[in-house]
Amino acid sequence: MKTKPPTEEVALLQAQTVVHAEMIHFLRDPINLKFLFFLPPAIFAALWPHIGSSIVPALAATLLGLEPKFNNILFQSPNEGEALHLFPCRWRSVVAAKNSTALALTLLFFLLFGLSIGYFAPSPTGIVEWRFGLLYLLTVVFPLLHFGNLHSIQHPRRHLGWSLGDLAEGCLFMILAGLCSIPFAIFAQTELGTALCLVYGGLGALFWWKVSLPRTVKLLESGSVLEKVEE
Amino acid sequence: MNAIELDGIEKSYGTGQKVIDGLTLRVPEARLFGFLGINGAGKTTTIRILAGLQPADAGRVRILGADVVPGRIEHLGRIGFVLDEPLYFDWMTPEEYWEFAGGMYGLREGTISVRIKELLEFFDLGDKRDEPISTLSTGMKKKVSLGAALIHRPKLIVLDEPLEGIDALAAIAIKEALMIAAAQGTTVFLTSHVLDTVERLCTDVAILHRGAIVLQCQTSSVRSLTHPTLPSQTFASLEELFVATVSDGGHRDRLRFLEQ
Repeated sequence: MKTKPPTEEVALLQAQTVVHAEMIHFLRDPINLKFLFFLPPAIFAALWPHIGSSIVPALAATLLGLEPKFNNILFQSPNEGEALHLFPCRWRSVVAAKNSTALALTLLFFLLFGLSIGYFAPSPTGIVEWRFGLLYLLTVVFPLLHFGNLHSIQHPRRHLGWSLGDLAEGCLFMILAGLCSIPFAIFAQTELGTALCLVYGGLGALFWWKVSLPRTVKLLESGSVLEKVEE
Repeated sequence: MNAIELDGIEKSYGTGQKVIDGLTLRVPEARLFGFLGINGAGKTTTIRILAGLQPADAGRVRILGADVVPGRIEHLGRIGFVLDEPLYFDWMTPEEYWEFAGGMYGLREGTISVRIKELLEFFDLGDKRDEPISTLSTGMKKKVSLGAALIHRPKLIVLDEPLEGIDALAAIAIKEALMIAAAQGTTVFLTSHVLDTVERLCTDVAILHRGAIVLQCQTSSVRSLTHPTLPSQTFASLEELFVATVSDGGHRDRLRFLEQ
């Protein structure tokens, strides 16, 4: 019985396996319930007249809640990094799979948070605001994935939770998200805003695929991430 | 061919003290190899170096003919590891973890399903298939870990203390699985402090002391080896040989309060 498929198929199998495991873990790990703690402040923020749109707190709560999915990709559970190193990981597939899961969860929770917060907001969330939110995510997610992948290797955290370290990481991530929002803020002022966001987002995706993934893989293959993670 | 070749391995930690000091070892293929040593001798460090989890400071590591260097992964597809610390995802169920391991080793879904069914039956984990690994006993966790290390039919299995802290039934299942694998030509490399079991299970042993190999022999020849300080005396067991090799000739003070 032939059981060993060719290399490309192995890479695909590994990617599917990682996506499946990441999704199960996200739904099962109680720490991910911290998402719910971000919802009440986001609803209160949506009630503030100067916030502009209920989509803004939905975006902020989504990114803050998913910070570990961007910033700590190798240690979603305490021994994951070491465990993965025992398998013949095609790291490009593994990292791409983890990043894809982060993207999928970002979209999913943006929609869920947007709907939940929109329900309480003084004015209903319109199509324009949803489009605004999706275009914003398109422009920021790929830079965030890039910086998150590098950060995951330079500063891995073995344990995720509510520690001061986690809080600091969350704050830094939101500052980074703010900086990554600058192009969107500029594009939104122009008549060609939508087109510019789409082009910028596409270039971001291309950069992530062609530059960020190979750079992350190279760092991972050097094995230094396991020496950097704190006990 | 040797399954494992270690040449002049050195490893120090923060204090500068050498945990591994010029370790050279050859593990022939298709053997059940016991890697022995007292606590702190460097066994776990050696295994972490073999697994690629820690780099050696100096020396050369070859596994199944391939040099172990950062970034090289091909040989990992032919090895299974069972380490002393839980390196599985304990939030998964046994079945999920074996599915994960099978997928990471590049096995197709049909193959994984068949093997998981057999593993669940062999390790008697059928009624625990849907329970998170974190809730299982130590023996069950070791079985889960071994199942993941066997699912891809490896050419080499490396196990750190597979028989520690587990009940007799779990130990029997693990030993049986290792003997079946070895009978099919798989090299089994294990550390253990249960010396009578090692003597019965393993074909070869090596004793690591202060970071270097001080003795390597076939288990069948243990009882014909002569005592280093008493040449007319042979050893009655592997345990006796081990104590004579690593005790540095020291004697233990008496516990007089117990003798009164």
